[in-house]
Amino acid sequence: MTAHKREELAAPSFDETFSSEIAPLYRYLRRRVGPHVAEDLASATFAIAFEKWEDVDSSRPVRPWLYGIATNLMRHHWRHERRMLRAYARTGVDPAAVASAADEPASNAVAPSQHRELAAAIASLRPQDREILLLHAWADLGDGEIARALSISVGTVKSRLHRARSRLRNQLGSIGQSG
Amino acid sequence: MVTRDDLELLNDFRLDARAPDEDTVRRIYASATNRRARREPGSPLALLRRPRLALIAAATALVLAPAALAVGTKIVELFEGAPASPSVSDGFQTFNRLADTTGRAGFAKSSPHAVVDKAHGVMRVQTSDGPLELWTAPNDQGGRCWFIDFADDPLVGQAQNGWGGCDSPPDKPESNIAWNNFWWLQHPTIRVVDGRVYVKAATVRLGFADGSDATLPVVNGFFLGAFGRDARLERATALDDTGTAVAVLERP
Repeated sequence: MTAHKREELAAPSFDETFSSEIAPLYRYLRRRVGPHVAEDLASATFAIAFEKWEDVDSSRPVRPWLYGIATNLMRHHWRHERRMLRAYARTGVDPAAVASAADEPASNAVAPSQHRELAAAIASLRPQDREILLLHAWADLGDGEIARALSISVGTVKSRLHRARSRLRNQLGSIGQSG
Repeated sequence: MVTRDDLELLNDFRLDARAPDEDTVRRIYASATNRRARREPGSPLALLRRPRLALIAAATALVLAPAALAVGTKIVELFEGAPASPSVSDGFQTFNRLADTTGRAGFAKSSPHAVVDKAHGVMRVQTSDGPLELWTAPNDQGGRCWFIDFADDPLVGQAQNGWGGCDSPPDKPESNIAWNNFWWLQHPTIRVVDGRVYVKAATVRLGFADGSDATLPVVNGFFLGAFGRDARLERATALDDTGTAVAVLERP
């Protein structure tokens, strides 16, 4: 019965998954660490996925698993991410928007003050809380998906997300208000 | 008074971060899948590894090598027309597979495919990490495909390790020169410059941010050089065989 059910589900191939997930994953990573590191992280994420593809549980969604890999790789770039956010907050020019090596035009527009303060607020979060908040906001993962991605309980996801959002709101103070 | 939700603010933050372009997708796919090929020596991809993509180049005039040598590039050998080895042909076959993949991903409705049996060598450049080779093949949309690789890379078991791509329609370029100037993690001390000249030219003169320059030959519209990690290309000037500038491109 189980085998029959699995056959009906017809798990996507690596290529199909790559095709559907590369754009959102890259964009998520790029929002966090800029184009150069995003490309390296996306490459490494899919390299690991490719190597382990035959071991993937085809009965479960692959997306949380992919973001779990990416999150583990991101840990090595937490400091880099925080430095970029602080630089953004300080100067108004976002280092994550600099040109890529392939001559992509740079975006040097000075950010609105809200974004500068938001950058500072994100940088002030605990790395683990920042991870969950951004998976929620930018990767559009639900609590259950984040829990699977990070191998933690849904309750832990909820409490960390709550803590992250509370801290973010406190840090932002009144910047989100307009009259 | 209106209070914006914190998540709403977050959603607007870096909202302009772009999705990967087709070349980036190709690089990521190739990098990811080639790592597996390394572990399986018998696979068709075993001799192809290309973590990054770029343009490619070619050369005709050995006399130009000394100028390039001054900033780190040395043309060792020109082998224009040499038939591609089976492993290089495998590389172009992979381009075709990538074209199918990126097409499925919605990045290209009709990606060009290399005419593999017409693939041939162009030139070989010596770098501190070994020889870097350029290969090219026509594609089925009237453009070219190219493949740059470390021919005997110890990092991947003395196998080929490189990158490449194909001209994509429309073929009318925005500029008469295009270049790539990048490095990658596997060869961190080298910065490769490769590019295309879309008008008739004999050489291309490269100007770097530190004030140094180098001249490379242009063959069939391609040029290639390898420099030190910090070589940031600022300007490329294509010259015809009389030394007259025929095209210029500066970093935006």
